[in-house]
Amino acid sequence: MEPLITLPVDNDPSKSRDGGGRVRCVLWGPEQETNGKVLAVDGEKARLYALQGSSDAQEMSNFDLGVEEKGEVQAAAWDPHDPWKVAIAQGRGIRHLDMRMEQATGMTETEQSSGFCHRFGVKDVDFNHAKPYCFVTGGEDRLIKFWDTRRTGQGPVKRLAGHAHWVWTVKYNPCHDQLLLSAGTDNLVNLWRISSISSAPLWEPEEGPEAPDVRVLAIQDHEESVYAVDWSACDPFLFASLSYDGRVVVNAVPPSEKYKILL
Amino acid sequence: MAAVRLYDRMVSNSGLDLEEENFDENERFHQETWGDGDLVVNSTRRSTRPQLQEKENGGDGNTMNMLASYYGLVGEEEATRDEIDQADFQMQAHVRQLLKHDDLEALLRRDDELVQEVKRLDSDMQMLVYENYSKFVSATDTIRVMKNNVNDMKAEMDSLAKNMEGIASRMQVVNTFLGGKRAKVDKLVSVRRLLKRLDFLFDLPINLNRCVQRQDFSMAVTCYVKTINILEEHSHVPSFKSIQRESDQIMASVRDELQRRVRQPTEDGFPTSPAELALYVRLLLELGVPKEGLKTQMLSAYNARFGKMLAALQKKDEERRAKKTSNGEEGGGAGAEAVAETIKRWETEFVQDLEEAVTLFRELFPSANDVDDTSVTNKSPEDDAELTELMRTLVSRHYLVSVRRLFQANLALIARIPRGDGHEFPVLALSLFLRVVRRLHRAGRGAGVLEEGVRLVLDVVRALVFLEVRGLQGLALRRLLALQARQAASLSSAAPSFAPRHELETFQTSATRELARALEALQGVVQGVEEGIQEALLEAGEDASHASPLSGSGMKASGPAREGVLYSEPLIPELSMGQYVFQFLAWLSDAVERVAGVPFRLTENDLVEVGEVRRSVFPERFFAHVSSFTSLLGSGQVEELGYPSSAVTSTALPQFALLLAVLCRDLQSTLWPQAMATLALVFPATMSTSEGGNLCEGEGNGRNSGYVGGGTSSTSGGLNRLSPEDVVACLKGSSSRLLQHCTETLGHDLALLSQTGGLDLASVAVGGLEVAGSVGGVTQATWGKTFIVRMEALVKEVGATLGVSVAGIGLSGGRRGERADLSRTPGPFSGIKGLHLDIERIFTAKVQDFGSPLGLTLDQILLGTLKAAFKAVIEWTRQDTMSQRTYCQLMVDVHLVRQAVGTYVKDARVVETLLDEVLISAGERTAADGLQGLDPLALSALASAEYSRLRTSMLSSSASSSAEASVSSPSSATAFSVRR
Repeated sequence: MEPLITLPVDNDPSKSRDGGGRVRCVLWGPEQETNGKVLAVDGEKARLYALQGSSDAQEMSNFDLGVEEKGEVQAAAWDPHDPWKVAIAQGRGIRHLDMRMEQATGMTETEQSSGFCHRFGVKDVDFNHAKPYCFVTGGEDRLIKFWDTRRTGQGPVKRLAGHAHWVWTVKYNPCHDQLLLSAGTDNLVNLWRISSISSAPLWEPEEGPEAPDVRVLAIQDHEESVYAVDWSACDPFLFASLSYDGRVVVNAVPPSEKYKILL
Repeated sequence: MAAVRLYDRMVSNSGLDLEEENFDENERFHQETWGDGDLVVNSTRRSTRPQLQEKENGGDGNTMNMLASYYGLVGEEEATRDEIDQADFQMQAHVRQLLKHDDLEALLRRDDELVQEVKRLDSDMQMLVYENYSKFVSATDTIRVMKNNVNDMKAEMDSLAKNMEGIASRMQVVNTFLGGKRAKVDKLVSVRRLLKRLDFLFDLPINLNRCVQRQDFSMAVTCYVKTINILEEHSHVPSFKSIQRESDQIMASVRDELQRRVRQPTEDGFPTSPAELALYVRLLLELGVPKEGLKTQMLSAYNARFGKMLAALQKKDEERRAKKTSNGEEGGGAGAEAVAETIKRWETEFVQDLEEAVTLFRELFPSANDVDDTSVTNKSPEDDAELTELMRTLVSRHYLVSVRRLFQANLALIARIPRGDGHEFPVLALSLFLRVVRRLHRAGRGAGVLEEGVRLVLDVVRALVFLEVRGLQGLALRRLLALQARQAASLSSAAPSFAPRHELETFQTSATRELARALEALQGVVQGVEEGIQEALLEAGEDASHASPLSGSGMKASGPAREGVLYSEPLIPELSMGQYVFQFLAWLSDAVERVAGVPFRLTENDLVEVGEVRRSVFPERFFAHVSSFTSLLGSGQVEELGYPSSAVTSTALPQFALLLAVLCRDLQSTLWPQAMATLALVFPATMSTSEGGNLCEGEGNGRNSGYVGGGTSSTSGGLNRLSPEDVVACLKGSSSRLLQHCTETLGHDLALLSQTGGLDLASVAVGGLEVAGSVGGVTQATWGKTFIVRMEALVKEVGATLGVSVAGIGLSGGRRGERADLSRTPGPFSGIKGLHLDIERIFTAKVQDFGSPLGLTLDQILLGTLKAAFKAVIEWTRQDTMSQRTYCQLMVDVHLVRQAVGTYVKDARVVETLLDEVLISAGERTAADGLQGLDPLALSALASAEYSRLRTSMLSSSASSSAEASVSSPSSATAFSVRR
């Protein structure tokens, strides 16, 4: 494979520990409007690039994240419902950037003035593809939290506690937002069905294993910290997870759950 | 049948002796022929034979006797034998009998007797003869005298008859002479009576007018009703007609006036008194005004009257209260008396009137079934419906609302007064109120007065309990916050003055004391009210049993019946005080977590574990049913619980969480059993003793006691009921969560130290000097030293909180001395990457449980803290790349720490594994050439040298303990925490 384009980065190497140049994440613009746009977040800035043709990229705008003050960037997610909005997990909070304004709309004041989503730090953020304004975060306090950007002042919509150590990554199923994957440094991959706050809540009884929100699977196949999970691009009920020791585990949503969602 | 015949023959042959045998045989026969219908029938018939036989033979004498006695033949022979006086006495036989049976003595005696008797008889006979003879002589004389007298009498009788005839003829003459005059007199008398009546009739209008002027309507109506029929009769006479017309006019005006009075209040704003009103209505009835209209008019008049009355009373009361508050009299005693007084005043003014009104109404409009209308059981449904409706309106919509408001207004008073003084007020006032309610109930049955009244009382009691519990909560919360502030101040100051054990004990004793005091205060209230409610409910129950056969409309019957079910034993489910104590303790465990800022604090919305039945505690929800009552109190009257904002809790010290974890544990062994004991003492009814005993152990063994069962059966208001096991589980859960929170935070802080070290090194030139005794150019440990110093401080803090003596613990005390086991150290850093590291990883035991609950021991807490710290270091290491220099530095520090950890935890293997993991991860993140030139021996030598140097310095500094505080102060850690 040959690289087509190299994104130009001009960081001050003395500013951060690893020279600031380490790109934390790169995001494609999700929609027509932002087609050909790429957002790269490194240790210092969030940069928006416009790809021109197949060989040239131009930096459109950048935003200084103030890493010294706010903490390191851990992850970012492009809002699928608003092509110009991106959420960045930084330090203990989530920052929402509006890229048209070329400035941050500000960190979400999630738990009032202290402004953090997770104690010790946020690890990942992901938007609900089917329900606007809703996103989920995982953090070092072992919790998964669901948020609504319209009501961040009231705290999380819901919290899940199913990990024994940090929740490194959370991923909504791109087709069925009842399903959520989470993985963490406790070597665990969890598959959740969070129906009560999804775009299409299932009718379920209040308690017991048939409750609307349950942990469907707890996959303990990994022997090391799991750092990545993702859903299959072709089969919405297939997912894979990757751990530190290089092991990839592919799993499927159990048929009973699948039918609950489909039927 | 053949069998029977055979049997008969056998019986006749052998007689009675056969009986037993026959019975046995009968049995046998029975068994043999079972299943054959014909034979079975035979056998059963046979079984009756022996009894018959028995009667015929053995019972012979008895039957004879009975028959003889029936026909009066008893003892004929014996009697004749004995009685000399009998007519058919047989002398020969008697003498023979005597000679045969008696001895000489007796015979002689008998002879004497007989001789004497014979003589006596002879003399008696003589006497009789003489007496009779003399009587006969005198009788003959008398007869002779009578004969002479009768002859004289005859002449006198004749003259009497002649006289009588003369009298009769004269009477006849007089009668004929007087006859005409008597008729005349009779006629005159009747004319006079008629004239009198006419006079009255002609005067009627004048009289009526006079009566009206005198306001004597009843007289007027009486006159009118008496005369009107006559006037009607003679209405063809013009003068009568005019009189009738005139008096009709007057009476019409009277009627109008009366109706106006019934309909309208008098000038002073009050409608007329019930008695007056009843009089008017009665007059109107007599005047022939239709009943139905009057009834509604009367009811509406009542309505207006009592409505106004209550409003006035209430207004007066409010004015009085306002005056009182403006005078500054706000004491509980004043409030208490005021409420009781007000209720009493209302009783005399309002309730009495109402009772009277109802009685009068019943008299005026007796119900349809007059047969059993004894003024008590007055329940014709259709006739009473209106009155009942009125009662319901008046009582529930006016009176009870007013009383409710009264209580609400005064609840605020007792909420503000010091604890323990206020329980006189509610008891007195509530029992007074109950009395009133029962009176009202008796006045208007079926109006649901009793039910509503009892509900109100229960509401008041509930509100009191709520206020009490809320007060306790507020007190506890303030105390917690004070505790936190003191600890924080002490930790940040150079000279710690905070004695955790002592503080904890103080907290617990005061909490126990307050809880007991609150329970006692509530006991006073509940006991005072209980009896009244029981009586009232009893009455309602009787009522229900009376009413049920009569009322088909169902509503009346269902009211009290439902009530009976609702408030049956124990008296009031929600008032079973255990629940409130449980809720308080559960709340406490919850509040403790809130104050400490534990992120795992449960809320209703969160999913904690899969399939876990959430029995979390939400005191607010538990008290939700009270809010309907207390919400009217206004926000200022119920103490708002001042939880610290999350901004404060998020920065709460982990040490405080630890303190609270210990508190939660201790509560299980101090406050909890004491609370249960007090509960059992104060409310024995609500707590069975076995339960109390069970709970004192603090063991939630999941046994469902009767308490819980009772709770689940009555789910009134969707209460969130707790069992004692739940409370213990709450406390335990809080304790472990607090502990986990504490170790996590402490671990995080410790881990941050390693990051400081790393950053410092970045500024040092990489590569460079090869100093003797250095490892890859690193000559001394950096964060490792701070780490150990911090750990030392931590050991002391935790030890103090747990109440463990820390004198001999830790590095400075040399608890276990130096770890000699350095032989394993060269393991993970032999300098070869790749395969070797992989093998290392394979053989390194994985440490996985970072979230498991920990025990409340120093060892466990330190272990948890270290685990959390090193796991964080591992993860951070993996995120970055390292230069060789950084790696070496890390190695030195890790080894230094590795030597120290053994002194903190018993099972150092877990921690060492994690430290190895740190180095493995670091090795993997170091550039390939960075791992060369490492000398394991030099490394361990450097580490142990650093370690002993540190140890001696610590030992010396522990003598002057102030120095340590400055080193271990968290400022360096927090300064860096921003970066993370």
